Amino acid sequence: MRGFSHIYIEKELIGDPELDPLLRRFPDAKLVEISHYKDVFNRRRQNREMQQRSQKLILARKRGRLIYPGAPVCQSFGEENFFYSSLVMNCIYDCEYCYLKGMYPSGNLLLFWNLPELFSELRELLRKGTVYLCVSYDTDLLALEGLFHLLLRFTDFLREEPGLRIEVRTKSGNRNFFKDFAGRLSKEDRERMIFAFTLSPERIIRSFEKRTGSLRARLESAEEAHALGFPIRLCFDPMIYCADWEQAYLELLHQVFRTFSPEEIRDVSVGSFRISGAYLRELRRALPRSVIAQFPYENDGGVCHYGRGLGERMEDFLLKELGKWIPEERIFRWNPAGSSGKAPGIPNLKENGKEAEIDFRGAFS
Amino acid sequence: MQFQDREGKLLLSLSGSGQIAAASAVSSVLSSEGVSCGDFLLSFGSARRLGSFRGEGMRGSFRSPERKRESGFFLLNKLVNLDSGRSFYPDMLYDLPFPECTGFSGERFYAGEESGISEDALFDRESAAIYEAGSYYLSPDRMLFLRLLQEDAGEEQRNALFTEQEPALSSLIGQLQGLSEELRSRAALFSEEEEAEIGKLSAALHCSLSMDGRLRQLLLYQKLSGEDWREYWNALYRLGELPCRDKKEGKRILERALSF
Repeated sequence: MRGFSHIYIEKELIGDPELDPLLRRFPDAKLVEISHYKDVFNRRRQNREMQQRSQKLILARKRGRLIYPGAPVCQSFGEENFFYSSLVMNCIYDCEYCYLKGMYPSGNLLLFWNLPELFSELRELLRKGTVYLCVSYDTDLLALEGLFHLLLRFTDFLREEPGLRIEVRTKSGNRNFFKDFAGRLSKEDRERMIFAFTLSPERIIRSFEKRTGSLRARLESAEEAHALGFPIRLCFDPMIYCADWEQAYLELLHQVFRTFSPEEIRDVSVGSFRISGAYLRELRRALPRSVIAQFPYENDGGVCHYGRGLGERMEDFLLKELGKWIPEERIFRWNPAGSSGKAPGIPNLKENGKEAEIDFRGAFS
Repeated sequence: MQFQDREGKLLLSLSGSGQIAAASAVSSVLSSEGVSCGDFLLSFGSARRLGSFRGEGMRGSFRSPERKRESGFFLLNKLVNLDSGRSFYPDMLYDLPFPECTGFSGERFYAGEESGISEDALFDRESAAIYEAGSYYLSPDRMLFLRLLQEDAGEEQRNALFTEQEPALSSLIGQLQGLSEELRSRAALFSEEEEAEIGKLSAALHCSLSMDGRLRQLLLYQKLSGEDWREYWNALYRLGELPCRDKKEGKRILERALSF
């Protein structure tokens, strides 16, 4: 099991007996007391690339809201009452194109020890209606399950709340936990826990998605989840350009449909790489030698994407090929306008009237 | 007072004691020398212990206390400025053979009971100020703080302590120098020769500032993806398209190069 050399822990959490099982998993870690997680997470001029070599854990209690409405530009798969939570910030994987490198100042892993509060907030929402909750947006919870066991807790909560559906986005090839999850849920309850696997051609995975599960491992993991009754979503998002991308994505589809028959897949999503201009600036600063970060993207009103129709050509190609296998109503293409119908680049107004930068969380992982 | 090694890769500055002197020295050195990729700040100093060492911040932890040490070097993983109340955290990214602890610093000597600080603390006057000054120039992974705890040690004992710790200190400096070289070698995206060629190309295209930025972005991408960027642009010289007439023409050529 991966260890942390240092764990930064907020003062108020020290002595919390609920944390002991977690801390016991890292017997060699040095504990450093902090007042507030931002004292470490938000330090200026942090070097994410260096931090990635020796990632630390920060344990904190979040104040305020824990569940957020899904942004209109995020893929909601037609779901109403679409929400997301971020109990963990950052990921143990190291994908070169990840928006997290542009969004967060730190490469360290931050865990908010707030499950009881989150479940309370969720119960309040569920009183008003059904909830579709994405729990693995700014991280990969399945990859972290061996460390934090958060999904197991979500599983138990899901069992008690019939109005709740959960999506778990992942690049993990870890098959070990599905039996544990399945053991706690009835066949009907499992239908409400969707596992969404982000898939890329193997050469993209090897080159740019460091430490993630191989394509084969992810497909086997998805197979295991499906065999145990969990709905499977496949996310071809983000599509990453490479010199022979058509061939690469064709091979990917061949491998997918050697593993799954179309009926076994709940739905799929497609989208070419895009990122906010502000995040791209940070990504380029963090990774000056990354061919993905340094690609000459086109900036459309603050949204950077493959220019000159390349992104559309890539998506059109994949949609056409997918259409040979999957019915149209089960294919979701990322729409920059989102449900608001606005053109790309136009920010969505927040409740307080301030313009918000386009939030790409959840559009891809 | 400053000393430099023959290769100019190690600079030793003696700041004198106190927060102001230390912060001034750091700012002065980093401003006048300039900061480049691969620079590290290694802060050495002495410290006193307020009580027997136990590892500050582990109150309530199930963990057993660290072994008590009377003297030796400690690596500070947390720096607390007692005067301002602020805390600072150097990134602990390197595998170093020194025990770690929190360092408290301030302008007056704080007695344990008065401050409520645990007995484990190491106390000096400068470490937090050095971090705070250094953070204007360097990232948290480029600053390390070693403090020598030497309770009531006479000169002979201090010398013996340095002799004993010398291998570990030499190893630390060697490790940082190696890392520094690695970082410097990776830093330059274009060689000097390439930079000169890019300058000529930018002039040939009559690039504005923003066009120059886009051109550099394209060339960097071409280089990183293994393309021979020179060959593409040299072909345009051979065809007579470069140098071009004006900015408008240059923009057209640049747009064409960017298209897929």
